[in-house]
Amino acid sequence: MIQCHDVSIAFQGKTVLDRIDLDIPDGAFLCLLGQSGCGKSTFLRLLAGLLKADSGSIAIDGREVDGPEKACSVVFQDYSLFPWMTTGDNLMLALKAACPDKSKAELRNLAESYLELVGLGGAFHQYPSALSGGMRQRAAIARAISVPCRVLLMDEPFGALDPVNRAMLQDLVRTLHADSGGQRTVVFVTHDVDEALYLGTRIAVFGSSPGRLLALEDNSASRGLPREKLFSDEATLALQRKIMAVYRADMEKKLNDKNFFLAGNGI
Amino acid sequence: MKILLVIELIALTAAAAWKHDWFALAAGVLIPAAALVRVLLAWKKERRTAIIDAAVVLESFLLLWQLTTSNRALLDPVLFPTPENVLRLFFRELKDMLHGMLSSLYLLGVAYFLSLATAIPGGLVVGSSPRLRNAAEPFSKVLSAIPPIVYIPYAIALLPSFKAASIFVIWSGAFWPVFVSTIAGVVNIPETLLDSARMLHLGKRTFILRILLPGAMPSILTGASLGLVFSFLLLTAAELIGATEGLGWYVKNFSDFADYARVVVGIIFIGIVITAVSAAFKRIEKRILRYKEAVQ
Repeated sequence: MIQCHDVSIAFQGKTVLDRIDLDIPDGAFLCLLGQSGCGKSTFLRLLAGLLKADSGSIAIDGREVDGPEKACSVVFQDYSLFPWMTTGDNLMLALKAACPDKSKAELRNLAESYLELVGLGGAFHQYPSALSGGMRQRAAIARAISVPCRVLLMDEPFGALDPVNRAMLQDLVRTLHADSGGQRTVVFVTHDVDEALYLGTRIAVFGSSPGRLLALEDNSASRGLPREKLFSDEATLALQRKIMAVYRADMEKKLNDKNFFLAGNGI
Repeated sequence: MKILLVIELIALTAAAAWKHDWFALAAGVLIPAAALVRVLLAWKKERRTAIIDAAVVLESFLLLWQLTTSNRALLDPVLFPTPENVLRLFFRELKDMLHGMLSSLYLLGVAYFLSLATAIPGGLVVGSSPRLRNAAEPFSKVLSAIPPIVYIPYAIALLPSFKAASIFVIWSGAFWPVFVSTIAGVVNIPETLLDSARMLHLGKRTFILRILLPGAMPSILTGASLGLVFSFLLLTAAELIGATEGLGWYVKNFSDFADYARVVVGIIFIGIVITAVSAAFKRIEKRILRYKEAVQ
């Protein structure tokens, strides 16, 4: 259980997140939806313990987050893998830190099995620069789930991928989450409403400047649907319309805010 | 370009046959022949062009040298020896110079290794702390701009031997570029990559050796190659301190005796050594940064 209470943070006098209250139950797949500059990535970094909130509290399983959080692993849009190590070494480095007692051969086997799980069995000895963007993100996901941690944080992980790779990786993440049997909580940042509807059991919509939680929707009914049925399902379409309305209102507010463009913020 | 090369080749070979000039024969036949072999061995077109261009520049220089010093002696023959004399002397002096090279490379190797061994760890520590970085910046700016030869009297007075003083002078020249570039390398590691590393909860040692060091490595290597150039520049200065052999000593010694043919021989030999050392450095650099060149 992740509990966020009254969380605010400002950078250089500008409020980025304003009094966020959000509870994430165990085993949930929460999609954080919002336009760029709404503070959703900042919120993810707060959960990870990479940033410290100015006020309010964040606790995971009742323990206050203070510094890089051991219960979490992270996948970023880019630069998750270390380019100077082979894919296999990337995984083994993470595994070695998480399980210092295991022998090198055991770590190697584990790394190989996780790479196979994401369909990268042959990429153990390859450097990230030799992989496509989609393969790199697969390897990053493999590294993130190879270590024993309950919360997987993903910051627009598929933002730079082409539609086909994107769909394949969405399926992969959805399957991995379903297979964990409620053991793993996922917090997934995206600005794509359809992606959120396909992946999330819950969807939190963030508004911009300052970042506020505008809506929190339950999507667990639609979540079980296969991709081709999702957007012919009435309940899903209703939720999509509802979220789009919130989304559009926020965008119009932003467009009407003359200062926003004059200051050049957020672009 | 190819036509130029052929014209030069014919001119020099003709001159050689006419005057029994062994230098011209070597320059006219050996260099183009060597270039031709390398061109035939090179696969890429750009590489072939580069070899031909380099051969043309070299040939042009040799031709100019030959013309200005041989026939009418446009230049003072004491200061500007003929290429033929230099070539003959080169082979006669080769044994002494190889001896000197070993002594120089020892001095250079020890000093350069020490500068890497101090500047890289120092740069990693200073680079990863904003406070230390700000504190070190003004000092490194000032100290890196002072030519290390000014330290020679202090080095001789404070250090136990002339050799140690020589090593110190080279060390202090190579240290700063490596130190500064290591700091820059650490600062330029993408923040997201560091965040990724933080989330893995690595030990301090692992974090430095497997994240900071390789992350800063491209920048470190740039600084290290600059440091190598600096240490060659300072070699002569260092060998002025009580050395009785070495490449820098050789050139300086014969320059003092106004034996400029040997000075030129020494300069050419130093050029060859530098070329060989930097070629080796490039290879090592390429090997370390091989992760970058993988193709999709």
